[in-house]
Amino acid sequence: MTEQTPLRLEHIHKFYPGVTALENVDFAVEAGEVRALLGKNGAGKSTLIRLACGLERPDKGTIYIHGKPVEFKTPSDARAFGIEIVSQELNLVPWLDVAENISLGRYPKRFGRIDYRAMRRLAVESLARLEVELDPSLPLSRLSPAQQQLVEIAKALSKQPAVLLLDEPTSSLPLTEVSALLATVKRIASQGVAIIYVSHRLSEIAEVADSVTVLRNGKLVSTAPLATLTEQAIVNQMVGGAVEHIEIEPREFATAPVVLQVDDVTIKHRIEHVSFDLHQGEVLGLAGLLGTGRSEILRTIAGFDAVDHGRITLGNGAEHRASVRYMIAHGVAMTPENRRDEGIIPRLGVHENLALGRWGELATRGLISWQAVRRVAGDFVKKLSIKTPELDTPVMNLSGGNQQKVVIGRWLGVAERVLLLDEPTRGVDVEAKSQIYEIIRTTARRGVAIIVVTSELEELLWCCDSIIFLHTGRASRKYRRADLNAETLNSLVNGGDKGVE
Amino acid sequence: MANQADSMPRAESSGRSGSASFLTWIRRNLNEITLLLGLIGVSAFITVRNDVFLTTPNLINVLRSAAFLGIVTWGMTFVITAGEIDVSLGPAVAFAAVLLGWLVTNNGVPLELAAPLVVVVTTVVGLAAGYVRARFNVPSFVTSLALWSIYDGMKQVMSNNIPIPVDNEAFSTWGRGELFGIPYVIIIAGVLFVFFAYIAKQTVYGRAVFAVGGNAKAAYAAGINVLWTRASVFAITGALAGLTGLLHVSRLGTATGQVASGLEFSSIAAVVIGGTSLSGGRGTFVGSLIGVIFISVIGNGLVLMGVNSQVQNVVRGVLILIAVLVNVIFKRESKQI
Repeated sequence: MTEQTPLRLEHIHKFYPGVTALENVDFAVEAGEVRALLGKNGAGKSTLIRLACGLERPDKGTIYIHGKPVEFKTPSDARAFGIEIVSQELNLVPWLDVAENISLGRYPKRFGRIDYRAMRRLAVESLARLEVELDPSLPLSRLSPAQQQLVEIAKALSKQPAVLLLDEPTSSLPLTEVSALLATVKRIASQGVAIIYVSHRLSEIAEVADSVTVLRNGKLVSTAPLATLTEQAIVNQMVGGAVEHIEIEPREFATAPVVLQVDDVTIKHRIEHVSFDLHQGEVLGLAGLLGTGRSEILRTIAGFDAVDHGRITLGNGAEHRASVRYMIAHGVAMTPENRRDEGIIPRLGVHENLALGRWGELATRGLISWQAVRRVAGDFVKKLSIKTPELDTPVMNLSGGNQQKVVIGRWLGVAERVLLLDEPTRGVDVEAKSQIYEIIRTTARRGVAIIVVTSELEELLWCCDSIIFLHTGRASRKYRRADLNAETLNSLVNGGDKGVE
Repeated sequence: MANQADSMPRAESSGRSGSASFLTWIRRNLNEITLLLGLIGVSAFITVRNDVFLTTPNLINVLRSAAFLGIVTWGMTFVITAGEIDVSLGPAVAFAAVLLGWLVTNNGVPLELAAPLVVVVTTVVGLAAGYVRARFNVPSFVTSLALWSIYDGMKQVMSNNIPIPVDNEAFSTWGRGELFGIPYVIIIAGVLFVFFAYIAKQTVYGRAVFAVGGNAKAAYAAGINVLWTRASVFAITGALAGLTGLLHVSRLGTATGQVASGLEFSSIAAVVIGGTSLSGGRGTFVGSLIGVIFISVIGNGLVLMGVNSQVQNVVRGVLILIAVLVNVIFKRESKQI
């Protein structure tokens, strides 16, 4: 903790009405260090970050830059001291090109006009620093999410920051591109930038971080070099106790009735000749990298998209149709990959978001019984341990994990045939994750067939009875959970087929 | 003894939760409360400057003009809550008025038939515009702007800009008649207010409007018929515009295309002042009601205080801006960036 320390926060307190978001937290990060900032949703990570980049001011405590106390009134104050943030949501303009996005708001000028050549040079330089090959004249909308994320980082780097905050930079990236991003992060650190890295994915932390700070309930739990910690120890610190992984009982489904039959289904440019059977009460995992068609299979079954070739049938003789409403009426429903875009109705209450799929049961001839809504919603809030101040709190005020539980809860008791879950644990903290997997197991035990898609492979082992692997739109045969472990899982998802048969 | 000891803390806790729930009630209705205070403030200001304002006949006047604005505004509240906008309302009302005159006086259609027919026409046109918006994803600003022009042109073609007299004793009671001193128009607007506020809160359809306005993709994924919901809100404004046109003719005794000019903007202003979000998904009927009265009070006050009619529009615009600004500042979420 010397004059060299580019960012230090000392004895920080932050209060919101009714909540102590941070209590006496000390935090410092050195040049060239990658510091992982960990904690469950609501632990105070976001607050700490908001304070560090000037979005908010501490109620007590001091921020030091290179040993000097400073006060950030706005984000531009923090920026002036060399602190840059890359937040979860990209702040880029889709129809401008890469170079202009990087210079956005501080165009290089010459004779009072925008100097496009200097702008391009700046873009080329900052992309080169990332060792990213990208044409600066491409419009942003032509880039993949990962490339856009890199542009956002390049933009931050082009301002020569001393400290770079990365808030869940990989949450929207496919697995293949995550490792490239992590390599980039390490490279930036080696150039002397201090990095604060927030992520829910512990495997990434293990790969990229030098040291780890864990927050819990607004308090500092510990800061320690990564080498001294095991993954389990980190998780225990975050949760404040030991979390047990659910060991799942092996079950046989050969005799259980088939509730969904996917037969040689093809959707142009997306999936090809996919076939599988789903049995009552079975939890099937679809494993594959992003872009292998896993979401498309779910969306097709749920009635969002039509099939180009092949057939989907429901076991009870009912036909499948490309209509979401029809499929819901026949007990088949999906929770989408992106809950903010397609899952929640942000301003409506938790109770109404839970009621959305079951008006038939909560209303008579179009007239709602709010008493019934509150009763049913109250049951779900209890059963799924959804943390919400009130039943009618707008769902946007809940943490990601609790929003996800609401979105899943909407279909419990409605999707009684097949429940389709696309990335149910994305952006969800460890505790909520195990709760969600517990919900999946309980629901399956009731006889609902479930298909889970997730990028976090090992999680498939915690909840699935069987797993199918996808490569470029084609499906493998169905593997039994009992025949797989973390290693075989990884090799299978990458296209191998070693050691399993 | 034991019972007493038991009951003590219970009484205390219920008292505490009572005051807490009162605070919650205030926080929840902060929007409406500030609006009401603003309305009272403006009314007090006018009352001090002019002694006619706070008389029964004048207040009835204010409420009558509020009723003519309000009826379409209840529909507009649905439209804006659904994340849409309808700028065609002024010409729609004028068209409805002229259409009635054209049918009855120029073409001899019996009024009992013509009046419902007018409402059916504006409803169907609204539904069609809404369908175009929903089916082809054309922004509703554009579809309703086109409709604005079509209605405006149609009314001129049909009337040659000459008022058409509509003489019918029974019909004119709708616009001129009173019940216990209260004009029917106010009662109609009041009944419709209760009806639509009820629909908004108590029916699956009303909640679907909120859901579609709040997040159309999520509403679709939850099995809500987004297309029908979007189209239907324009059918509602269409129907209410038709009804308002009839009431204008009934009150004036002639069908003229001069009525309701600028109504669409007063209506949008009333909804926004009321606290309904232009981005959709959040709407309040009580807010719209207060917004409607607010705008009518301002209009009435400016006339009473003898403000030059050219200056009136300027003052009205500034006051509306202030009202919206105050509203936005009051309800800004503290953590919003």
